[in-house]
Amino acid sequence: MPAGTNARFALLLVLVLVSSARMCLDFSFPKTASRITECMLAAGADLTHPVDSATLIARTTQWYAYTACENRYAPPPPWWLTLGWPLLILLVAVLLFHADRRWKSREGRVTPLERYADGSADRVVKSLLRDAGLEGKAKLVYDASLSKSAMVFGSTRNPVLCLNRGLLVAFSQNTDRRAEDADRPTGEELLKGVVLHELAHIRYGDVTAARATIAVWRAFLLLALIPYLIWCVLLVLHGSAWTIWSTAGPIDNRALIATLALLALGYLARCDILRSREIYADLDAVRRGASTTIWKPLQRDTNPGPPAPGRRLATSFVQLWSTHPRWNLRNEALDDNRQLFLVQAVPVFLSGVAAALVYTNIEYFIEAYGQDGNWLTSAWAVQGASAFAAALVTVVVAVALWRAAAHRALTDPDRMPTGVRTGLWLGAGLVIGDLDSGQGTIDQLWPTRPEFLLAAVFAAVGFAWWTTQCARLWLARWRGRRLWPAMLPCLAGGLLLLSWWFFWWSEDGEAYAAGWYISPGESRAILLYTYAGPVVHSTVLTVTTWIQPTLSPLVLPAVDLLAVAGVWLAPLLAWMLRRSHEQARPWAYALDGAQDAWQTEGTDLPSLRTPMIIAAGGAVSSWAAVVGVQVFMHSSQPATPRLYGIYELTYWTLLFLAQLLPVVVVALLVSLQPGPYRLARTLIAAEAAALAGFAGLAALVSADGCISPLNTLETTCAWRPSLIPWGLHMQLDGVLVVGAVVSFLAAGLAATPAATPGLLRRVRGRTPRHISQQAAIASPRLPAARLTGPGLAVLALLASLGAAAAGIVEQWPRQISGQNIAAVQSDYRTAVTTTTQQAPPWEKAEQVRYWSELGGSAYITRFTADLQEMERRISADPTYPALPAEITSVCEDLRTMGGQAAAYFTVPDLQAQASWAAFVGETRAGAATCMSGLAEIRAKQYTEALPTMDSSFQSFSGATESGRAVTARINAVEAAGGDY
Amino acid sequence: MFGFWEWSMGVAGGGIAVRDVVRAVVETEAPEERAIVGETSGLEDGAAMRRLTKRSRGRTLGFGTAEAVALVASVVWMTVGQAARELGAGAGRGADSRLRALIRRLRRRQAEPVRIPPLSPAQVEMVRNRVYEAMKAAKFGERRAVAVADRVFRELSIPPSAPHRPTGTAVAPQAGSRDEP
Repeated sequence: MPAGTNARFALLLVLVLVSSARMCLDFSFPKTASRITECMLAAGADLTHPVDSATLIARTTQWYAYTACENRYAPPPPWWLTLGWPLLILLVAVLLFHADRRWKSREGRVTPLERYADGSADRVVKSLLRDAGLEGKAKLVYDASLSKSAMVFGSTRNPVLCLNRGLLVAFSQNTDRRAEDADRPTGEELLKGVVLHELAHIRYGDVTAARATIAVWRAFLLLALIPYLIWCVLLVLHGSAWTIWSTAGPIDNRALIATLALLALGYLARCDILRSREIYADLDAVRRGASTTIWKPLQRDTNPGPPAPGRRLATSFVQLWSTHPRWNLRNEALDDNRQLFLVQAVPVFLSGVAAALVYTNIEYFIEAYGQDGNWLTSAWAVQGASAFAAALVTVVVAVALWRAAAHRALTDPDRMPTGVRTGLWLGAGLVIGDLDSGQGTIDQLWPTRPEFLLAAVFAAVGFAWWTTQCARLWLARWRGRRLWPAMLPCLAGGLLLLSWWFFWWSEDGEAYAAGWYISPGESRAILLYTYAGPVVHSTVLTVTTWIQPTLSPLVLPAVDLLAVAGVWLAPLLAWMLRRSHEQARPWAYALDGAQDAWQTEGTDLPSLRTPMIIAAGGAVSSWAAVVGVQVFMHSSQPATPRLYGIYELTYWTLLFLAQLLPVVVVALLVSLQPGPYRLARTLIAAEAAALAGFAGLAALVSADGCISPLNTLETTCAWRPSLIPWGLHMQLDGVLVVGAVVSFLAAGLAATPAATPGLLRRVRGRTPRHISQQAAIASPRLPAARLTGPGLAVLALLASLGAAAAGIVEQWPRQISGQNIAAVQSDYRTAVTTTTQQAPPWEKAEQVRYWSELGGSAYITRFTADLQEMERRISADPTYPALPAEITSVCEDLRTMGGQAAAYFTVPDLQAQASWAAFVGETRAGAATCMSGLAEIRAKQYTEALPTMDSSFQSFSGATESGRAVTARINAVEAAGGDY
Repeated sequence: MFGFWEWSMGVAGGGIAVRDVVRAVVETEAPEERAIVGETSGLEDGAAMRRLTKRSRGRTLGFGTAEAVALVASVVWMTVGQAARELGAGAGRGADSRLRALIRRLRRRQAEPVRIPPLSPAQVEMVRNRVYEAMKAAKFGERRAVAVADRVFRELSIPPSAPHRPTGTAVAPQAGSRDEP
């Protein structure tokens, strides 16, 4: 079972590559920054008093215009540069890796061991090498250092074992001190022990891992971090092109602080990788005959009592930055290898940081390079970034949790880990990563509502808790020789869970931290704008205005249904494994170093009978509730119900609640049942109830029209499964996702009283106490039930995966297509009332000036030119039949222009905006009537064409007036602002 | 200027060189250190001492200890050298000798090895005790500490004019520096 070194290395590598790409992108920023400022001013953002929520609204409501402006005036550097920079760093790292060996083993720095005066040392080392099977593979040298140590460099395949001369001298110094001080090692013991330790590093493949870590870190420092840091300092000291705006201040400082933090975190990761291998090497050395005395005299901390908390904290902190574990830790590990299986806080924390940096930075690229409608703006691109970050966390954290659980199951099954502490560390990492990468802020140093970042801590605890429970469940029944088949379902479930979370968090959740809020009034406006029909149930629509904006982002991630399936099926499958009465655990051999000691008498899993009965009750109640909703809706059914309208929307909202409430009750009831595996039991029951509930709903909705008191959407009887897809997203994804979230919360709340003393104990002091006795007694000893046979598992698997497949198929077109950001903008524009900010006159002048310069005035000019062209052509040949040939192209251009102008920024001045809106509206109306008039002329319907063309020209003359008014107002605002 | 430096270095010229004492002790009491002490012969005192106490810097994939091996040579060199500075011609030279060393380095000239002046029996006894203490502090065994201290005692008790005294300190500072114009 992997100890996670390679995973940690991968973590560092990804961190380095992603951060350097981001830095490369940022380097080009000063060149384009002033242009971005201009785009923001044109969008009406108040840069003298930047407030993230206001900026967010300004950008969202003008998303299309803003993106177009940025892409035109401030394009990102070419993509090959952004991607090429990390590759260059990788290349330099490879060069450094090879150069390191040459530099360290150069002539003059080291001498071949054969040349050492005392030939017996060479003989001893060679015989150790022979025993290890490394003879001839490793080059043997010594250097001038008098430390009693040695090191390996080069690579695992081509290692150089370099002894310090001090070790050789100590070896030759003979053994005369042994009689007086039995604990002190002889020179020979020291030489053998140190060499065996180093050989263990070679055999475990640590050499390449460690040297590569250092090489990557150096390349990153050299090519990215240091240049970037200098750049940041220069910006902070001398200001940049855009520091006239206060907005730039925090950004520069942010970059500086974030880079310094990255420096510290990267160094922490580097030390952690190097440190992680030492105890393994120690243990291997002892196993192969090293005397433990060589570790003893190095133990500094001889004070037997527990050290003062402050001192302990300080020691731990210093420890973080060193390449070797503390001596007393290493000494302890020689007697008891338990700490090899504990989940280490540092890598867990760092994986959280790395994950946050990865998803934020990849999404930053997506934002920079995603053009209107290209594949980068599709949901799968974001989902890919989240899945990548989730995979990093899974390979580091989930695997470590499995190791810990497996070891505990063998050695101390009464005190199984909960994973909560690991989750807290992971959450802390995510929060720090979010803060470092600027999640939750746009132009500010700090999120407006940083408390929302704590959501990440909850998610992380949920993930770690779930993973641990899944591991414990599988370990209780698994009797295979290998562990990975048992790990696979849990790792997959955890990965999907996290990728769902990261997607939601980075796309939607973090906006709450930036000051975004749900506004029912605006949601209502959007709903009324989007869906047709009269409002039948106003209260239900109000409920919808809350549910819709909360729920749709939750079910937006493409993997949502798979995540839910994984989260409840992975534990359920463990229950389906055949119970074995043998105590032997063949997989113990997969756990390096754990096979020699175990005293396992694990308890079997509790029965699922009660949760399943509760779930069945939940499903039946949900069917009843659906029937109730249909009866209620039937009472207000219009004579001819309109599909896809407001009426149907309210119906689906009620159906959603009808399904969700029983699921919530099921989750609460099951979570209150005492006994172990609370979370798993709750999830299984709630999700089973939700799926069964949906099956009933699907049947009842498809049969709409057949049972007259239940008729809602139809009046005639037929089997209509086609009614379901419109509400599928909400009914299936929505209920399952919210059901899972509720299960986590309910189980968490129910488990908190039990978990709190454990946590407190950990915080206060570390006196272990057997606490699970109470839980063991309380666990229900229900008779094994037939309910939980393999048939149920197959049913659950098919139902869940079938649901996931249906959901993905239904969503597929939306997921793969890039977002139509013009449509999104128009949606928002309809709903959100932009508050005009109180910008000072000079800034208002700047805003309208850039609005005008970056495109506004060009539209008016183009309109005027088109109109003049039209007049010229008409006066050249003023006959009806000639009109289509003469002016069709002009009308078409006006139509195009009108469409583009509609998507352009609103004028950052209310009065000018009124005229601009009129200008755009009249232009579009004029162009449209012009086109239909021309069509009539082509059809020789001259009598109809006359008034049509007349109205078209009237619209155009109105637009001319409005255009003039816009220009006049802008000139006035500019004049009022004075010369800036 | 030049004359002053030459003169001040000349002051240290009497008695036995500390490095010769070290070499003699190592020859009989710590033969395993012969090689490393031999390598210091081309170096001036400071550099030789650094060579004898050098520790490794790179600790990645090492055993994790920077603790240096205790050398008989470095114990003797440090203790006797200290005594030489206290009792002999170099006494009282503090910061300014460091400055001088720096200037010498700039002029790429080697310092004359520190010498210990002829000592009274009481002083020799004191040095012996100090060597013994230092050996014990460096965690050498009793037997070895006594042997080395005795060896130092004998070495310092031989009158400088004794015919068997090894000559030629390998460094040739006197000749070298006087050749300068």
